[in-house]
Amino acid sequence: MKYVLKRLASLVITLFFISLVTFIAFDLIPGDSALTSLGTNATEEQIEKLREERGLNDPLSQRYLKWLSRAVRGDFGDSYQYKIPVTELIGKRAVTTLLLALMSFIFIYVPAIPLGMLAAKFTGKWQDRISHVGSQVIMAIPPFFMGILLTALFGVVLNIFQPGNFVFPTDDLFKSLRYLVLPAIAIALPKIAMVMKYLRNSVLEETGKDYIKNAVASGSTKKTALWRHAFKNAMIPVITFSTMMIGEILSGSIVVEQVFSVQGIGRLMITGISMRDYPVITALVLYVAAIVIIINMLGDFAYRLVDPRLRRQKL
Amino acid sequence: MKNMKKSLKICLIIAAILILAALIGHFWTPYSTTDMDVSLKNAPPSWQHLMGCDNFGRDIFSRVLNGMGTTVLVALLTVGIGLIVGTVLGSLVGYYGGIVDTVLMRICDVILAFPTVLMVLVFIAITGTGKYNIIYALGFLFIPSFVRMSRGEILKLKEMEYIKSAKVMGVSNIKIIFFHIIPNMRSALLTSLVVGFNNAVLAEASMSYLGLGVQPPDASLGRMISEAQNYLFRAPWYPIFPGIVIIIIILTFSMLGEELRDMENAG
Repeated sequence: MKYVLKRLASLVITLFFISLVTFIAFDLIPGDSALTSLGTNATEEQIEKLREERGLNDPLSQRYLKWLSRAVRGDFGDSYQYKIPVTELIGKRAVTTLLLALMSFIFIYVPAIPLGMLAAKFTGKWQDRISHVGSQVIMAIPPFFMGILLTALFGVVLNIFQPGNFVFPTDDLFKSLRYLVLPAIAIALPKIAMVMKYLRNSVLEETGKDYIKNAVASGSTKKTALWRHAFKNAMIPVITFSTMMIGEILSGSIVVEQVFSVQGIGRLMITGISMRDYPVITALVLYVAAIVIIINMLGDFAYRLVDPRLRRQKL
Repeated sequence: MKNMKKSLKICLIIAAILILAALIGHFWTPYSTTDMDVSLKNAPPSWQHLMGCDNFGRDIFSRVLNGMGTTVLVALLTVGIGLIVGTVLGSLVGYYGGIVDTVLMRICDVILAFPTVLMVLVFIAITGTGKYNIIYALGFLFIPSFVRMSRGEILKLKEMEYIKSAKVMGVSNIKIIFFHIIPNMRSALLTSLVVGFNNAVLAEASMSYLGLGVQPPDASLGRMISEAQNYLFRAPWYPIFPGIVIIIIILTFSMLGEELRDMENAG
């Protein structure tokens, strides 16, 4: 319990620092958000008026404190480009991205675990070599190009997918899920190869150990030894690897959302950056940072649950 | 060179060809990369135009060569920044230790904990888009992994007999770091260099695809694919060729990295 509280405190402190750093960084950037919003035809007065409205003329410390006091109450200000509260803007899109990430996660692990075990079983044989070459090739395909290839295959050749017909999950869950299948596959495919390779190596490391040799020697079949004994222990490193994987999925989702015109937080972030919509970017950076930190935390907790030796360690 | 594995040789040869093609593409292309020819609009691949023409009638092969030039240049400079700054920093803090070491490693851990694409996006939000800005942003983000790698190596190496004897003989610390330790990290450095190059190619392509990396008139493979996406139905060769080139680059260098790692492990 003390451990949990300690981690939560460090989460809050980290987020505070990240917000401070992003705030200072955006202050140093050359370029004017007021100018970007109004375009180059705007007069000097119009720009000055907008700067005043957005509070850009106040000193940095004053602006930061004002922002912070609002942010802790859950108010991140209004978006420059959409003119609505940032929280409202993010909320709907966060649901989309989380749904996409969850689907990708399922699409990764459901095939990758049996495939990884199979690769370990056939190690050194031609099946293993084919899967090795295959996964090398798949891992070399950038996620955005994978998305384009999938659109070509399902949209043009098979004609069962129409790019651009995205619906928010909050509007029509079923339609939205159907649309997100392809983007999720585009994110998942390269990662399947990664998880598979990782699980294979982890299993092989376990099967080389004495307890497995012992199990086989004392009459256990190879299958039981592999699935019942080696699998469990081989999963421990895979769990830690998976917490990293969630970050990777979010990364992939930022790019793939653009390919399929999915309205998620990745797309919001990209338009935010090109429009210099700082309230949106700051909030998104904090939001994603919080998710990454929390997932790392959960990963550590899971690790301690699975491996009792860690629990006894001093913190 | 002689007792090198065959697979490693093949990887090296393909990598050399790719780098050479990129270098050539940076300075010379068979056709102009900007001249438009309406009669060749969306022309399919032919002997005159190996990869066909795009929606403005520009030769895709020339643009791919030129784009490779930009991509490889960005990737090399990026990894170069990461390698030089990262190795020097990592070696210094690893050698001297102390509070600076702890703080720097903590910062590196934080940066490495976040997904790369996200970090690159934040940095681009700060530096802005364009060829040089993406080099700064990516280069900075490559520093932590090199810091970590060289620090790990130096912690191992500084306990070696020959370093201790050098110290006893009165060789200065700086000399020990730069002339006795860093040269001995070369095999580990080489592997991370190749892996880093690959990540840089992927990151540059992704950012340019998102419209946040290289800006026109500079050609880039990622940017070409994003422009080509709309012509997927009418001229499929337009997005496919630059995509295949990216895949070949990444595949070659990831296999090269793996071969080098095997060689290192084998001793």
